[in-house]
Amino acid sequence: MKETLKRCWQTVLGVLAGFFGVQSEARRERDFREGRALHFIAIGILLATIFVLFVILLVRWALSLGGA
Amino acid sequence: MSTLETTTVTGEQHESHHHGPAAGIGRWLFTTNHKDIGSLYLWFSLLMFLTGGVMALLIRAELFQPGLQLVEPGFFNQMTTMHGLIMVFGAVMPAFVGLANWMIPMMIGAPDMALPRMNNWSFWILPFAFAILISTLFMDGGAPNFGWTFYAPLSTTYAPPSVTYFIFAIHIMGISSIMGAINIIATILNMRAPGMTMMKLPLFVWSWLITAFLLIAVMPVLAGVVTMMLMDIHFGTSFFNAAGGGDPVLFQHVFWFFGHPEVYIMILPAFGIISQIIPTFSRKRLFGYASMVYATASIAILSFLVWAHHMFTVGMPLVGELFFMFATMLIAVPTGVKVFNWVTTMFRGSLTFETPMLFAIAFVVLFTIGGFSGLMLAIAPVDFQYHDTYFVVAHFHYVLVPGAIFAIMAGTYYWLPKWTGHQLNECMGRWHFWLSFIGVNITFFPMHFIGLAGMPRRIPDYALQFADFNMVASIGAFIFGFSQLLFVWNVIHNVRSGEAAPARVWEGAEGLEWEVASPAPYHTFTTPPRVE
Amino acid sequence: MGTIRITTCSFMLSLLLVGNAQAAWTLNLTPGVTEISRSVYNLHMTIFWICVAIGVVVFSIMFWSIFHHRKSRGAKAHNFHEHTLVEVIWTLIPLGILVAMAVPATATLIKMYDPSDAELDVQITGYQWKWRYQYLDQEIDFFSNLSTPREQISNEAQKQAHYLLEVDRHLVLPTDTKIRLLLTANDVIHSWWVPALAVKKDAIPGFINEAWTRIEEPGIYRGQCAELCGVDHGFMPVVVEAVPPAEFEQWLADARAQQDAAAAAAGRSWTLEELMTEGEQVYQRVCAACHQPNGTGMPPAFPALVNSPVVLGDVERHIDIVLNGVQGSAMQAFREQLSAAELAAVITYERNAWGNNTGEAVAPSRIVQLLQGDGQSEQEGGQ
Repeated sequence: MKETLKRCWQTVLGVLAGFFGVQSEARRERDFREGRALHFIAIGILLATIFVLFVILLVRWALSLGGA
Repeated sequence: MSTLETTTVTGEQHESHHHGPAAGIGRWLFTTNHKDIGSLYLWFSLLMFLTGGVMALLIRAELFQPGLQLVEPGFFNQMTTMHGLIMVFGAVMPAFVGLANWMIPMMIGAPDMALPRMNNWSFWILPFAFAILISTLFMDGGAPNFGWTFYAPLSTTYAPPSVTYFIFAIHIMGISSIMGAINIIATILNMRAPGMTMMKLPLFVWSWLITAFLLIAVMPVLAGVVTMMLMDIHFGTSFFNAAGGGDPVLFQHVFWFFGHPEVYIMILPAFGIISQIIPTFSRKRLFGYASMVYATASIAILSFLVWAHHMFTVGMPLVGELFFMFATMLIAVPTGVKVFNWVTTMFRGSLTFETPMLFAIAFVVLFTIGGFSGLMLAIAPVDFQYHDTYFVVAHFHYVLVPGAIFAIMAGTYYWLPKWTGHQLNECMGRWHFWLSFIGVNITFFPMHFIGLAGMPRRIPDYALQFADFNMVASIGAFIFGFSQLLFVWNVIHNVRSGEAAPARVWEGAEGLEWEVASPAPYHTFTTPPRVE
Repeated sequence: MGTIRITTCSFMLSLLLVGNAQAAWTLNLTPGVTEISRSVYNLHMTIFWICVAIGVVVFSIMFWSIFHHRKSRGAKAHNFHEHTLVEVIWTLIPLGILVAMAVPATATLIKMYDPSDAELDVQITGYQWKWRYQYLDQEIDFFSNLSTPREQISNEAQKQAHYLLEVDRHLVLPTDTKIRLLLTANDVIHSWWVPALAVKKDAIPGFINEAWTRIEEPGIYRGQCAELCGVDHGFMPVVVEAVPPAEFEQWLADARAQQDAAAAAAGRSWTLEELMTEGEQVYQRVCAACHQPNGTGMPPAFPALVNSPVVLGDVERHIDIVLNGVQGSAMQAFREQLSAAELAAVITYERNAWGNNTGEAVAPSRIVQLLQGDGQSEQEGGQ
C-alpha cells in the first residue's frame, strides 16, 4: 500500500516535471525504469485538466481584482 | 536473429532479403525500403520547396513596388494561399518524415520501419494530393484564394469551385501524415535494438515520437473541418454559415485546434535535429538530455491549450482572452529551457563550424528571435495591433524558415555523407549557408518594421510609407531564393562525387547511425546490434 | 518614471534604427491618440526591451563560446552536463518575468473590454470591399469606398500621399467622447483596424462585436481591413476623422441634409445624359472593381456586362439583379448601398455604355417605386 502510494507520487512528480520542462537524469531514469506508460498518460490527462482549471481560476481571480 | 531464421526456410526468401535495390523505376514505385522511401520524401519535399519558393518570389516581385505590376489581386491571393499550403504540407512536413524514415531505424538499430508497405503507400499518395492541389491553378475560377488558413465563409460560400479539389487534396495529405505517424510510433516502440531503452533514444527520435502523437491527435481535426466545409458547400449544411444558424468563428476554433499543434509538428523535429548536431560539433554531451525530453513533452501538452491566441480579435469573451493569453505566455518557459540547453551545451565545448553546425547556430539565434516576437504576440492587448500584419508574417517566417527549414538543411548536410558516402564540399556548403543567412534576414527582418508601421498581410498593393522596406524584403527574398539553387547543386554534387566518407563522418558524432558504413548499406542492422 | 524610461528607450531605438527622423516611413508601432493606444504602446515597448535584454544575455554567452571555445583555439571540451538547480533557476526567472508582464497586460485588456457609458453608437458593417457606417441614434447611414483612382493603382498616374488609404466619405467622430463601435459584416469576415486608436476587431457576418474608443486629438487616422476578405481585401481602407464635438454636431446636420437631398433627387425627372454622367461615376466607384472599368468583367466569378444577355435583355430583370443581388454569387444587393437616383443612373449607364446601345433610360422614380413597393409584395408573398 505504502509502496503504491509512493510510486503514484513519483509518477505525479514525473508528470509535473514534464509540465515544467526540467528533470534530472536520475529521476528520469527512475521514471522510465519503474513507471508504467499508462499511469503516466492517465495522470498526465488528470493534471492537464487540473492545469486548465487552475488557469481558469487564475483568470477569474484576475478579473475580480480588475473589477470586470 | 530473424534474418538467420528466414535464411533457413527457403532459398528464395534468402535471395529477396539480401538483394540490393531493384533496377529501374520499379525500385522507387514498389520500394518498401526505409532508405528509398526516405529519399523519395526528401526529393519530393525539395521539389515542393522550390515550387512554393517560386510562388513566394512572385509575391515578393509584385510587392517590390507599390501599385499593381505583375499579377492581378485575384491571382496574388491564389499565390499566397498555394505558397502557404505547399510549404507547410508539401515541403516542411514531408522533409521531416523523410529524415525520420532515413534516420530513425538507423538510430534505434532497427532493420527497417515497422510497417514498410504502409510506408510506401503513405509516400506515394502525396504526389497525387499535390498534383490535385496544383492543378486547381488551371481551373475555371482559379486555385484556392482564401489563404492557407481558409477561413469560412470566404472558403465556403464565397470560394471558387476548385475548393472541392482542395478539400480532397487536404484529405489525402492528412491520410499520408497519419499513416506516417503510426509507422513512426510503431517503429520506435517496437523495433528498438536490445539495450536501446527509451531513455537512451537520441533526441531526434524522442522529438519525432512526440510529434507523431501530435499528428495523430490533430490531423483528424483538420480532416473534420474540411469535411464540414464540404458539407456546407455541397450538402446544404450550415456549420459555418450564420444565415443558416451556423457560426463562422466555429471554423476558426476547429481549424486552430489543429493549427497550433501543427505549428509544433513543424518545429519539434527541428529541435531534435539541432539537439543532435550541436553536441557533435561541440564535442560535448547535451547539457540536459532529460530536460530536453521533458520540455518537448511540455510544449506538446501546452500546444493543445493555446489555439485561440490566433483569434484574439474575433471577439472572444474576456475570460477566454485571458485564459489563452496566460497559457500562451507559459509556452515561452519550456522553449526557453531548450534554448538555454543548446547554449550551455556549446559553452566550454570544443567547437568547430562545419556547414551543419553553421545552420544549427543560425537556427538557435534566429529561432529565438522568432520566439521573442511570439512572446510579444502572446500579449493579447498588444496583439490587437500586431494581428494580421506583417509583424505576424515576420514572426512565423522566422520560426519556419530559419527555424524549421534551416534545421532540415542542417540535418541534410549532417547526414548526407552517411547517405551518399561522400564528404561534403565545405566551401560550397558555406556559400550556401552565408547567402541563405543573409538573404533570410534581409527578407524577414524588415517585415517586423512594416508590420508595426501598419501594413496588413495578404495585400497585393500597399500605401507609400511601406515602400522602402518592401523593396528591401523583396531583394532579400531573391537572394534567399536563388541561393537555394546552391543547395540543390550541393546535394546533387554530393550524390555524384566527393571524397569517400568514413563511417563516423564527424569527429564528435555519437549514435548507432555512425556505426554503419558510409554510404549506409541498403539493409542495415539485419542483425540487431547490442546497445550497452 | 516608467514613461520616462520608455520614452528614452524609444528615442534610442529611433536613433539606432531610423537615423533619419525625416523619413516618411516609420519603424515602430504608433503610440496613437487614445489612452488605450498609449498603454498598448507602453506594453509593446516593455515586452520589446525585455526580449532585447534576454536576447543580449543569451546571445552574448553563445558568441563568447563561439569565439573562445573553438577547437582551432585549442579549446578542450569540458564534459559537464546536468545541473538541476541551474535548470530550475533558468526556468523560474522567465516564469517570473512572464508573470510581471501578465499583470499590466491583463489590466489593459480589462479596460479595452469595458464599453459601458458610451455616448455615441456607430455600427460598422464590412462589405466586400467597403465599409458601411450607421450612426444608430442619429439616423445617418453611408458607405465608405476607396477613392484612390484606378490609374494610380495601375501605375498610369502619379501616386498621391494617401495612396490606398483614402476614401470618398470619412467616418467622422467627435473627440473626447466615448464611442461604442458595433461591428458586423454582410458577406465574409472583415476586420476593422485603425492603428492610432488601437482598435482592431473582426467584423463577422451574423454576429455583432463590440469595441470602443475615446479619441483625444482631432485629426485624420487611417487604417485598413485586416482580415483577408477576397480579391480587393487590400483596397478597403478605413479613414476616421476626429473633430471637436461642436464641429461634429455641424457635420451631423450637414450629413442629414445631404441624405434628404439625395432622396429628393430621386423625385425629379432626369435626362438620359444626366443619368449617364452620374451613372459612370457610380459605376467606376462601385462596380468597376469586379466588372472592370470597361465592363469586360473577370469571368466566371464576375461576368462581363458588354453584350450581356441580362444587360441587353429585360430591364426589370436587370434592375432586380442590381437591387437584390444574386444569391450564392459575389453579386451583392445594392438597394441599401446606393440611392434611388444612383441606382437608376448606374443601370442606365450599363445599358448604354461600351456599345450596349439600348437607348433605354431607367427613371429614378421607377426605382423609388420598387424600393417602396417591395415591402408590400413581400407581404403578399407571405399570405
